[in-house]
Amino acid sequence: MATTTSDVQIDIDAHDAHHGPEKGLLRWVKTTNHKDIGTLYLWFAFTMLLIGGAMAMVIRAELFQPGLQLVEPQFFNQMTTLHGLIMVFGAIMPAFVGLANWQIPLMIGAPDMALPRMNNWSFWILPFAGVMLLSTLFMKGGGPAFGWTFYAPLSTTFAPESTDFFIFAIHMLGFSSIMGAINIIATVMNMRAPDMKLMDMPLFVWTWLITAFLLIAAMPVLAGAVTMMLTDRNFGTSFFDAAGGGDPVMFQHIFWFFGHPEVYIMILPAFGVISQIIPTFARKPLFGYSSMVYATASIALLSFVVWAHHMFLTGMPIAGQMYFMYATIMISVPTGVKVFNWVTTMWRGSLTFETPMLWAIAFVILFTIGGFSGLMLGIAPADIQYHDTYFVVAHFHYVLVTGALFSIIAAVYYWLPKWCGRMYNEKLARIHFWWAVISVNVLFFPQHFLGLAGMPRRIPDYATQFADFNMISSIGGFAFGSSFLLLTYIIVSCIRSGEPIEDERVWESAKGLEWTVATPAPYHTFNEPPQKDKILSESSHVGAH
Amino acid sequence: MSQNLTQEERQRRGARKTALIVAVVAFGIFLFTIYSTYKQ
Ligand code: HEM
Ligand SMILES: [Cu+2]
Repeated sequence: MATTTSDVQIDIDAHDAHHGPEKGLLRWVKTTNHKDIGTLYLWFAFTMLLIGGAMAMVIRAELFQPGLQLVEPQFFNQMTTLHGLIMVFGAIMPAFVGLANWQIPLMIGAPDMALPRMNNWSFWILPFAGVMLLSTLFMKGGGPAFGWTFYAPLSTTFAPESTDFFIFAIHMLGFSSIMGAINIIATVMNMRAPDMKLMDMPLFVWTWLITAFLLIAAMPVLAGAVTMMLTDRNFGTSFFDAAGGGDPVMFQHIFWFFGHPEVYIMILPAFGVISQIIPTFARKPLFGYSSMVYATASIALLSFVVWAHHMFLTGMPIAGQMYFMYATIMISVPTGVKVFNWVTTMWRGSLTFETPMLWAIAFVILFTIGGFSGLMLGIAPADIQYHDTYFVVAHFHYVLVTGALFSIIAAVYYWLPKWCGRMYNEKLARIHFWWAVISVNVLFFPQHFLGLAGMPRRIPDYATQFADFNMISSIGGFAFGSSFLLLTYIIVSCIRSGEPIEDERVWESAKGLEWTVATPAPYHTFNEPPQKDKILSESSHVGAH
Repeated sequence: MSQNLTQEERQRRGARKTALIVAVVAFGIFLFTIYSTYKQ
């Protein structure tokens, strides 16, 4: 800036005094404010969650009984494909980026994200990509029906025309994620309050920083995969076409080299959220702060060397199977460290069970179930039986729904009062919790049994011996689906007419810089960085005391 | 106050540099993915 300091001084004061948000709709289009952008991301993710959820309802309705009832098989496959894509790229990932936007600057004492205008772009690409992806459903030949993993040649030689739009949508979604990750890395590395060391950072910030590096390493690989699909389909290359000297199995290697880190992209920020919530309601510092950081980093590194556990049945050499089996099982060591630390944080704490804590505890238990079924799948000889059955479906829904999604819901219940300065109806929130936690288990637990009994995934019809568990699962599905109507009501009525809160520290024993700003969080915060003593007294882990 | 501002401006410069490096790395990974598949 070329202005002299005194000019700037006046400028800043005027700025602070008058510059709230702009009025009207344009505020949201032009905004570069991290809180506005966080809000946009969260509402976008929620919308996509409801759309993807509606597709899941179609799937469960068709599977309610054996036989073909409601939809054509081809349409069924479009539903499973788009459900997966929308939930992964439209709901879970943007929701975590939304949480990062709101919380990271508040938690590290920064005035905003490092690159606010790029931040605006990262968000506004998403609605276009989402609409483009959904529009494929209305095109000739229908939308993509090859599963969210879009294996070649189903997604190249034998795919509908709309696949090129799908490819474009994935490019845009990837671009948005990469820009988001760049912004988060730059913010955490460069914009921290000068007195905050890396090892003073709250775990949510740590897990997101590591996730951002995963995104930087994994998303370009996905972009490469879809680019090669594009040229195979339209420009006569044969990267994945055996007829032209290419290799379809190579597609799977590339996809899973992205895909396995991707699943950790969706779970590491969840670990961060849980590590914020549990100490608050156990009234104890997080047990093993630094081991949490190192565990997160080792999970991230290991996630790049296990990808072929998704490919045990592609005919790889025994030595390859052995390697990928042992490497996969090794991930459970740092994961176990985390679960141990959460439980130990609660051990002999003064526990109370406010809504965010209920979700956090459910996360610890149910995510662990998903981790165990993952271990089972990682055993190469056992996976010959489990692969491509409903057991896999049960596994990844435990880690993604009761893991990632539950942590997002926990985070919203934890931080929403800070964001909007109002409290939700705790009684309704408890009802919502029990409704969701019971129905989600009715929905997904029987799918373990179905898989073990041999029911394949991605089919619209099934043999009659699978009828009972499918019906139970569908009933759980409808119940779980409807719980989101209640969640919508709780959130909207909280924002509009919830009981106003004045306390800065919404939860009496919460620690962290975000609880030192006014409630609701003002439009601009930390124009001046917090001082060292404040940073240390707000840090929730032992090392700093 | 004025010192904080130069501090923030310093931070933002560093941040832009970080962002540029990370973006170049990402683009490199993208190109390498396609190149190494092509080589196969
Ligand atoms: C203890 C850690 C974990 C282990 C050992 C593990 C292992 C596995 C294995 C071996 C498979 C392939 C099964 C098959 O196709 O036959 C698989 C599938 C899957 N896992 Fe995990 N997993 C773990 C954690 C996670 C987490 C944390 C997530 C996401 C948050 C996740 C998401 C998925 C998904 C989405 C699939 C299915 C991909 C598909 O074929 O569509 N897993 N897991
Ligand atoms: Cu995996």
